[in-house]
Amino acid sequence: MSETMRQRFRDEAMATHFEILFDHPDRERCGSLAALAFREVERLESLLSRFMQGSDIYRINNLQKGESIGISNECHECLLMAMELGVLTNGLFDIGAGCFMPLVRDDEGRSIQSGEEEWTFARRRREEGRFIIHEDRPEVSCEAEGLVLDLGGIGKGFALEVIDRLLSDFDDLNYLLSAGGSTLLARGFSSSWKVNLSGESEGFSIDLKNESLSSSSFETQGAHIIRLGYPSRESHRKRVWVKGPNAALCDGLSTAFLLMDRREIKEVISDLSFEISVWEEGVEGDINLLTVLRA
Amino acid sequence: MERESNVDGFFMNRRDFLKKSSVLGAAGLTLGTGVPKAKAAGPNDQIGVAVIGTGAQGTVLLNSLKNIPGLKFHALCDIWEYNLKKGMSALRGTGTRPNIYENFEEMLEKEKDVDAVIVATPDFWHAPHTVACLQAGKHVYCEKMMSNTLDGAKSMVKAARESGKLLQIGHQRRSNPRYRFVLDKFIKETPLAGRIVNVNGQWNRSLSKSQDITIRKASLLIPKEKLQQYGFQDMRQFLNWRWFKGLSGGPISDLGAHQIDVFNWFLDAVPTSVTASGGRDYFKDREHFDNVMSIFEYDTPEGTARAFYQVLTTTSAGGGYFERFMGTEGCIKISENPSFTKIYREPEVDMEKWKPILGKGLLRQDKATAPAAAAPSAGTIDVRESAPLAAYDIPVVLNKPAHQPHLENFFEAIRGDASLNCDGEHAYRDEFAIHHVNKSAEQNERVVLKPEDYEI
Repeated sequence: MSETMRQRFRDEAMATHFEILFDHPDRERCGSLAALAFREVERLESLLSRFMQGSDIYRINNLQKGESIGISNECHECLLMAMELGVLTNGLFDIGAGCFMPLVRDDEGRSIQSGEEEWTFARRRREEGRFIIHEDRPEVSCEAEGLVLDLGGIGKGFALEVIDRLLSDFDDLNYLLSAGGSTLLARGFSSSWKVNLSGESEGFSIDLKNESLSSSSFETQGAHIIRLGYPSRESHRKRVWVKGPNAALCDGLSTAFLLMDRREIKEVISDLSFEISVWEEGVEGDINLLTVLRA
Repeated sequence: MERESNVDGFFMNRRDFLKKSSVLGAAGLTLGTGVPKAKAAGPNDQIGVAVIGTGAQGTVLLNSLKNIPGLKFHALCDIWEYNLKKGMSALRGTGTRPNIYENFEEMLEKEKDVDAVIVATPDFWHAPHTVACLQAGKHVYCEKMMSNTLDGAKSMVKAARESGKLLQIGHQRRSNPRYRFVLDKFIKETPLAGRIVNVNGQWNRSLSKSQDITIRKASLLIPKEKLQQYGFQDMRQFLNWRWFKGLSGGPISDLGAHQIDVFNWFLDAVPTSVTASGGRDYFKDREHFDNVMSIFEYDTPEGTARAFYQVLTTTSAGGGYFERFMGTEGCIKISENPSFTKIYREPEVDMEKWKPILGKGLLRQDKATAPAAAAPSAGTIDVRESAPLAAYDIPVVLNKPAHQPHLENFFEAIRGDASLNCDGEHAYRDEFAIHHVNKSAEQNERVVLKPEDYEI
């Protein structure tokens, strides 16, 4: 794929930047698709952000016991995916952990320390809370208050999936979608995309075609990743990359795998219905392919 | 054909998922398949609804409509099958499967149980759709702008008068509880900003979101004859109607209409003149201006007020979209996005006026601008960087999609439980000046608007 053919577009949303690369010389045609994509991300943010009043997630988080609300199909689909990820990772991937976020980050996003009392209170609320996600219709019910949903670990990957469907509806160009530089989705109708997996001291390239890649690290996410209810322990790795057929899945799994040991990761992968690849950057900076499973 | 998700569940075995889901259930999220929540209204109280136009805006409205109890969706109408599928999909879970139509006249002919029609079509279709529905005895909720022409807007008001049916125009901020709270408490009851002398507002949209939309998939193209039958030259016009004269009023009416309506609403006045400048500064081949700046003069009960409004489609700079009412004692900045909303107090204003408001919890001081703990002693002045104006947050939350309260108001009015927050008569007066912005910019001259000009 020639670099000169590439058209790059960028926009801010979901507290990060979204980027699209096309391998086509017609900038107007590519710009049209980029506009479509960026408007869609804006719309998704208005549904999925827990901070935006009136969003589906905001409304769910403010449900009182016994109340039910209808939500958008997009939010419903994302919640079901998040639930699957939660089950796959034995609860380690947890969108219900939003109530802990104010304990680790302030309003400006800076890392903070909170006292044991605050943690105890948040844990109790977390344990008491219960939402029902209705599988057959886009509706959520609250059985007990306390949960605060946060789609931060999956929302950007999910947004790439929705954009991909939209762009594929409208045109048949090759493109690489990026959310914050950490989750990629490559659509290659005729060619693949070469992307770099770069650690601190090592790095290499892989080809992506009709699949996704997501990366998580303590370096960029820091305290955002919390291993709740599990004994604290030293991390085995600095960074994880997950390649698979779905950006939301890769986004969520890369976060969860950062906190898992190799045995736990293999258990998760054995439950999956499709092939994924996982790389880790060890504490010494070495990058290893952990596993590839072919279903 | 709309593509579905590329994976159907992550688990190799669905039963494994369901078995293991008890793990997550213990963590507070469970899957449910129970009976849908009961709707508040019984079958006899249901309002029959049809939606004309199920594109981007129509789908936004459907996502709100499905949350409102007591509605039965009888019909969706759109000339593009792709939009109809999106509309049907938005109604998933409501237990209704509306009939679908390409032609609105056929829909009105066949759907006798429809009481109310939601019109979310391109602006040039608003008047024909609305007038036909009103004449067929339906109540109408029509998106703003009422029409791309003043004659079109007038015909809608006249049809509402003659039919006796309700016509609500989609200026949804009129039903937003935060806007209503600010107007009632801080402009009417206790004018915290003092005398409002100036107003400004803006909606700036990045270049990356302002490009033309095109479609290449042959299976999704609408045949040219059909497009022309419905007033579009081609698919480009159909997908980008906001840029074309004859189909819309351009960005000033697309984005500006909401906010200039708020100017009038909060000032309780309509402009006496419009002066505007605009151009095809970036998108040279567009019929409408891509960037417009406008000044409106008002004779308010307190005196002259001047309002500046800009809509830019080549930058997102300048803090998004908001309306700012600048008075002698403070400034009220409000937006549909709560994070852009703040009230500021001028430093010389006596705190005694604000204390009762703060005491009642009607405002919350922004932590970042709270006064320093130690005040300087009399006769001394501390030298330091300029202090920001004291800022306050408004503790009113809209816990619904942005359009839902306005739609609820429409249906409450149909039931006789409320009056419309933005009927066609008022919307005409509020949109009247907007129709003159492009004219002022084209002719490069100030347009004077007399009180009698606003009458129909």
